[in-house]
Amino acid sequence: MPKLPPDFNSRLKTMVAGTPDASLVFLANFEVEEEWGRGEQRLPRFTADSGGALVTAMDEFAVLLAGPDDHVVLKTAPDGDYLGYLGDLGIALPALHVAAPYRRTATVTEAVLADPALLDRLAALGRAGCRLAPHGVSASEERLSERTGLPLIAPPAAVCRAVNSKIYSRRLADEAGIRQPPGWVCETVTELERALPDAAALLDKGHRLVIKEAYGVSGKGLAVLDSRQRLDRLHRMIAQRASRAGDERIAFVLERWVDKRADLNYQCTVGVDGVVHFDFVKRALTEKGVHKGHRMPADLSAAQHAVLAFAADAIGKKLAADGYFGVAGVDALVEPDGGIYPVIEINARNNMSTYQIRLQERFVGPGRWAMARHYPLRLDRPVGFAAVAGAVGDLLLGRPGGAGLLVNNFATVNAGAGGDGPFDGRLYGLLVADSVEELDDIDATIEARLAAMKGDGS
Amino acid sequence: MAQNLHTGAAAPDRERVVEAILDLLRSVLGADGSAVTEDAKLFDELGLDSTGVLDLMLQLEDALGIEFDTDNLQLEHFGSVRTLADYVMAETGE
Repeated sequence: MPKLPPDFNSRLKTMVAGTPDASLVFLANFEVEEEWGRGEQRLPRFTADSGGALVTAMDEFAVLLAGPDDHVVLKTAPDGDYLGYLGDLGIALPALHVAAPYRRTATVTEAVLADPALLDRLAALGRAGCRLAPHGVSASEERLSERTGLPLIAPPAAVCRAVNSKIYSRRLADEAGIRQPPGWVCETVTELERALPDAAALLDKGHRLVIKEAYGVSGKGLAVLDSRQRLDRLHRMIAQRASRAGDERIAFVLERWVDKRADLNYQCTVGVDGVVHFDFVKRALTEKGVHKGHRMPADLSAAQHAVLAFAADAIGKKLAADGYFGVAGVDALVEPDGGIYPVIEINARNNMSTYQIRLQERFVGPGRWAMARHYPLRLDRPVGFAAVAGAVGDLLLGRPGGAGLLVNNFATVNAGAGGDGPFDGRLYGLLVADSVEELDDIDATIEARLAAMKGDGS
Repeated sequence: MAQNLHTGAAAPDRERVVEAILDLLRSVLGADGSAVTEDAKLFDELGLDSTGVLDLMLQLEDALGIEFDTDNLQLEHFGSVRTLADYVMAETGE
């Protein structure tokens, strides 16, 4: 096997496009699960309006995944001061292509598909040999590939959808002998009903259960059940909806809830030739069950690392055998006694962590610590990067080797604007420091400084 | 229409519904019930999230002995204590 390049951008290109010199068109279509899960029965879930605008503004993360020879398509042009800041840090930026007109809650793929002039420009890139590298592939990204002639460096949408199902994750872990919580895949109401007696027995022993939509985004589309009454209620709800739809087909997994000390996220890249490369592991930070960010290094023992490396290799090989190649992220957890459950779910697409790799390579050296997170903002009106930078003050990272906050997505700050009254925004960034204590100090100070900002320009 | 599980039981009165909602907000969200008004926004002010909605709904069913028709549930029903209470009253009323 030829030696793979150490940096992620070149390695990815070598593994999926056959050469480190490939020029890619990145497209960060976050929450592609919404498309994969279309037509499946869901648990009741409600998302505030700004959710769509905010999630689709996560497309800006791709700017820091791409290299200077790559391209990124976006819903909206990044803040000029923000791009200037990245340039001052010495980050060589890709060519940016912005869809017009701005469509607030459209996905980046929908926005690009609705812009004939941009489609023409992308077609020219296709003729020049560029290839399309989406966050994850659904029918929409296949349509974009067809419309522009940009070949996808990814398997077909049907393969991507299949391997991203939590049902696939459970079956893969069973086949590969990877430890996972006891549970059941439920592809029909009858299968769910068959699982109920054993599931109820777990509840009787004092365990909790979790039911998850097969295509739910991490932390969403799930319900924790702590009594037979709840289990029966969920069963009635699901059976009733299936009956009304005249289709007994469902897509859920039901499993024992596992107590944990920490959540982990690790990533491997699967080459077109089936080679599997372990990329990294990070410790996830969650708050009220919702993903907030990651800390790195993950602070694991060598034995814990080995368990994850073994699982990553088995997962990568199985994905390759099933026709998948590209990035695969895996959620895992550490039990209170230090034991590892290496597979909670497989996300065979880019993950939030994927977009931090290039920054880590450049700004987080050995022996240093980093925390990737977002700061929730409540704003009265849109704010520019200069105002946010002013609020963060001396804790804005200014140079490689320094400590502070490196903003890695600014579009999500103002994406929620456009309705009546105040709106919610998020400032995403990577905190870098020399110790966990310094990291936490910087984090707390920035949180306080941002909380004082309301978007009135002060 | 929600199904009343207690055969022959009267539909819950509004005061009881509001009290049940406030109790749940204290336990589910850790909200300070004494400071929560009927117009407090569940998402914006009390920190309800999209996952918590299902939990809140199931606990409310348990507390009031009813079952919602989940096909009828909309985001706006979870806007505030008042809108949620209005929804429960409409679902359980004749």
